Amino acid sequence: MEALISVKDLKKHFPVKKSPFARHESLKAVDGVSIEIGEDRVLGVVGESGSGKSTLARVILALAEPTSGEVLFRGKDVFALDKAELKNFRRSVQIIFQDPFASLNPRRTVFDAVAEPLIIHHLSVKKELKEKVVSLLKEVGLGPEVLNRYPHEFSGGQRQRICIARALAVSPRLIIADEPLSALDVSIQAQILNILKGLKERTRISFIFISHDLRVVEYFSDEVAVMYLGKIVEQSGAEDLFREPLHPYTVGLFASAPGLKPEKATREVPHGDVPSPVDIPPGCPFHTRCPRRFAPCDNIVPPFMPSEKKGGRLVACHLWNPY
Amino acid sequence: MPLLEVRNLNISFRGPKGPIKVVSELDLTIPEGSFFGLAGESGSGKSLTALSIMGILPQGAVARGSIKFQGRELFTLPPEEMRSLRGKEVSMIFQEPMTSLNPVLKVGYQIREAIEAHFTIKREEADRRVVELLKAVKIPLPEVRMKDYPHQLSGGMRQRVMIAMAISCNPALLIADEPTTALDVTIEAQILELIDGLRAERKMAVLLITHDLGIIAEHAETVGVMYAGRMVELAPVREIFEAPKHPYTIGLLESLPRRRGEPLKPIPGAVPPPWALPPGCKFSDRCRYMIPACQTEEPLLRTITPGHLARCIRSEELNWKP
Repeated sequence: MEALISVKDLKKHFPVKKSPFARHESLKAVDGVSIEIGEDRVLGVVGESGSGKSTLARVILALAEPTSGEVLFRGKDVFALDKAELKNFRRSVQIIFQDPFASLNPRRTVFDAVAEPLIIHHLSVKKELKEKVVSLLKEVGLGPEVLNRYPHEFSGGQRQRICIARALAVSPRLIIADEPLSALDVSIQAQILNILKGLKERTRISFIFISHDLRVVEYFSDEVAVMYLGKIVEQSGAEDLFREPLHPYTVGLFASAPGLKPEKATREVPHGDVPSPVDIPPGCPFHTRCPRRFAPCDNIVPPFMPSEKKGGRLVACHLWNPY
Repeated sequence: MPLLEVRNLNISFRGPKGPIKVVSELDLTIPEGSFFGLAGESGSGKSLTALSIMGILPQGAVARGSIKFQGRELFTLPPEEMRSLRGKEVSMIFQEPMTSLNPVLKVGYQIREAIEAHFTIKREEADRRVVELLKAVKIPLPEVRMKDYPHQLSGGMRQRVMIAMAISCNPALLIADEPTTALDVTIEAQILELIDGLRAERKMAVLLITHDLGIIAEHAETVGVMYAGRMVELAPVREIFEAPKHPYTIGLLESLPRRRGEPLKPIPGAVPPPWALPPGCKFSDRCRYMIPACQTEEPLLRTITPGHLARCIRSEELNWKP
């Protein structure tokens, strides 16, 4: 089956200059990422701040040009699409952002916000417009009484519902959700997560679900990619990954995640901070914090490849692959 | 005598139609050297409770009731005594370390300032203490780092500096208001570990405020859950997670995904604003266990089993298991 989106060796570097006399350096936000996402799949992307998750999302959406590598949408390079094709691509791929306060225009009503994509893409005739907006709002659990209200009248959770309805308006095939829950209270997070889950089951839309919250990613994703300093260090089916994480960074990430058991766990939390993406350590980027570092880690970059020791699971670590 | 005893604390703001109550009849006891976790969603009044202990409520807020610290009533303490207590015997760290630190002063200077505010002490001696403190919060190369400005440090390091400053005068109580919310998970785990370690080493009590029940599960001894300005459940940590007796606590626990594929049971609706709370039990409009009696009279916070308090008339019937 042809992939919906396939990303090949994608790099996005930003130039940085510390002083006018310094040589050019670059911040390697995304540094050689390849992923594929098929129809009706949820790919979770986890990683700490600065790992390149959001930059990856922006490049996939063709909002930023990659430094090298390509993004293919149904086999076609999205950066070489003509105007009509690009419009079609934009219709097929939508995004939901983290901050529902910043992603709605405060001077436009809920109706305006949700109807706009329908108008731009000529998806509705005027007579049916209102009906369509009402049915979209119903999908996210909002009634027709909200139509003429403004964003400030809503709580964070309700605004995020409006953003989801707006993304759904164009019947996309893929929604990129960039930390859609992190601005919300716990009880509201569960409501939004249930809406997303229900949507996925009804509409078979694919998701790229970006989050730092492992519990949520485990709950929602079919497959999970773990990012560290611009690279994917491990990727596998959600069940495998959460049952037996392979990469020491994944192990550390899981160990750090707050559990719900009221007892002290003995665990190995990665020490120190994430290095700057301007000065990525040589060898394995994680070796400076890795509890299982050994000789080759300091100099040899571990390739991201299927591990024979672990039934072909994808991991970039010398522990699991020959070097 | 417990270290901190809050009794019948009420906090209100002046509103256009009379006072708006944001914290109501709150009782809280923290024994010396213990770890108390205070949980609740935004708007539950947990931060205002902390600010009232420090005596730094925002303008317009009025607090009534009693807060006793080592037997002294803080509400009637003269301002100069309150000032010497604040930062020395009780200190506080906040969510966003960058906004708590002065960006144009070196971090070493800022920590020294905290010490010099409470003790008359020679410059060299103060500097030596700063290095010790930075070591205590596990900052590598303390002699070098003390000469850094806040922007040169990472978020986790800045929070460590804030902690160093907070413990500089050996306080008996450290209040931490969402200290890890702005940090990544691996750094969050490091900071929580550090706070708990310092508590044990220095016999310092900790009041940790959070919206995430998960982060207190491992460290807290006693947990208080707040909703709409009220304490709705107060119990030893194990009981909160294994046998909660208030529907709101149950709702919070069920909102967190546990196992794959198991549907979540979110709490319906949202927290009402403090001027539009329902009559009777304040959680009744969102509660799955609501019966007509809940809407007539507000239940009291009462003992369900020894040491376990809840504000619900149906607590005995709740048999929730994780």
